[in-house]
Amino acid sequence: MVDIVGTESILKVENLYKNYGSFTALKDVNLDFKSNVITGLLGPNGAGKTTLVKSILRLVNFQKGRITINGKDSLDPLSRSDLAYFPEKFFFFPFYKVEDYIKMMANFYGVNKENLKEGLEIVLEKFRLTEIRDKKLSKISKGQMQRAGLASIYISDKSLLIFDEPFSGLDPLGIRELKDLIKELKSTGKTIIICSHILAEVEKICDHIVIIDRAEIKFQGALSEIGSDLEQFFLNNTTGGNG
Amino acid sequence: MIKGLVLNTIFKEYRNKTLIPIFFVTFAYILGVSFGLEAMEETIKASGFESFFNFKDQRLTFTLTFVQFWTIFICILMGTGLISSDLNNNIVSAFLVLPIKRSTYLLSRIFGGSLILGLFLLLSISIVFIFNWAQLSTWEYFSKALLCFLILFFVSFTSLVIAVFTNFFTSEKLGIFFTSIIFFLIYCSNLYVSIKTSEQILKEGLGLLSSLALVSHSIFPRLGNMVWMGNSLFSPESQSMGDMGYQIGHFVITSSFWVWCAIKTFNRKDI
Repeated sequence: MVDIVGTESILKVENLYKNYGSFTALKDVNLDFKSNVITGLLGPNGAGKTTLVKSILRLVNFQKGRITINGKDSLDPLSRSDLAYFPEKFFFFPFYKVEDYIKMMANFYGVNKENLKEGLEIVLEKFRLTEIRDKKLSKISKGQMQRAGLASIYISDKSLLIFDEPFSGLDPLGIRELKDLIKELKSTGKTIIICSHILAEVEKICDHIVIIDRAEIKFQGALSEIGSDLEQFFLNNTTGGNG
Repeated sequence: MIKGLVLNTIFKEYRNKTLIPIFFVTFAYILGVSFGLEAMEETIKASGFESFFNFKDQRLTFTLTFVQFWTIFICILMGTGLISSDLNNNIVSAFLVLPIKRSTYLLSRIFGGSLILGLFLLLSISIVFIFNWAQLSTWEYFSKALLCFLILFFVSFTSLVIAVFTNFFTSEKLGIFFTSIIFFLIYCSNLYVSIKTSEQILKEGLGLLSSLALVSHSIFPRLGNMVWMGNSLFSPESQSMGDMGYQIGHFVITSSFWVWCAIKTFNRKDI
């Protein structure tokens, strides 16, 4: 197993196998994510990226293997107590107001009242949500919805953040803001996993890369090991998904 | 966190566009029956006819039976959407990545739903009994109101749990359809068994109707019993449910079915 360089192990995946009936979605996956590192989880569509993320979060059960988060087995719900997740195609009940949604999620993430009071204004300002704080989620644009979701992740102050296809659906300004946000989060000591197929964006912010193809890990290591052409490296290591 | 989930459930259902009009229809019906039956009785009397039916005395039965049926209808609507609305658009992942067990999430949703039901029943029964205050003594008023509330809450809570656990479908419409069929069978069987006791059905052999009645009655007897209890409160002449062996058989089959439903629900890949 190649360790992803960092200081201490925060997330460990060992001998992970996941099947959907006779279809193998993940095969003998071994990964070790160290703290304060941004890792890009790359792969073609259907390669197994989302299944891996869902297995880590226990949104799906797997047949074989073990996942530990901060030393706790992922079977234990408390293993997720220092983790926040931003799903692909983020959506929430449309009748919530932006501010109420952030407050509610902060409450779920265990943010105490004082921190929430201070933090709320900061995140609303930071994510350009102040003007739409009283608008319902159904009345705001997709980009604004995405920002509201990110605001809730930001205010959670969790040390392990998992983003599933965060760049999809964002305009160039939104992509730039997200990249800046991820860099800022890293500077505060967060460990970040970004699941994406947009190589150009991942290349600019990630320290380490994991390439998954046809249910197997094809590469894991520092971005510097790859050289200057991530796209060519990616194409050399993948065969076009699992489907 | 559990408190947050329960509050979220209440807020979610409060925003349910189908439920709110239903609540108002119920209250309107209760008021209508309470005033209407009395007015009808007065009109009949004033016209000089001898009424063959005592409307006033049946007012309580009419309204409470309606509340009972209507509450189960609400349970079907609310129960089937309680989880499946989270599954739509993958909202459920926002809750399941929190450091809580799946069972905590499911139970918080059910608890939130039953709080709404409780409030709805409390309001309905209060209105019904306030309009019948004059007919009853204080003690009778409170004891009957409390008993009604407890029985109806028990029936509706069970219905809600059944609606949640039998809803394996991500489509709410399918869930509502299948759960409605189940409840329709329950009532058909209750109606049939109220005419013929289970003992008679067994003795006479199993015709098509008997078989249907027995099957549905065997699968959901606990609920049937509770509905029965609710009915018998107002119709003391209701017949008994059958012998002990039949009851135990009911219990075993029902429990197995519910356990199976619960296991299926807890093992859903998307929950």
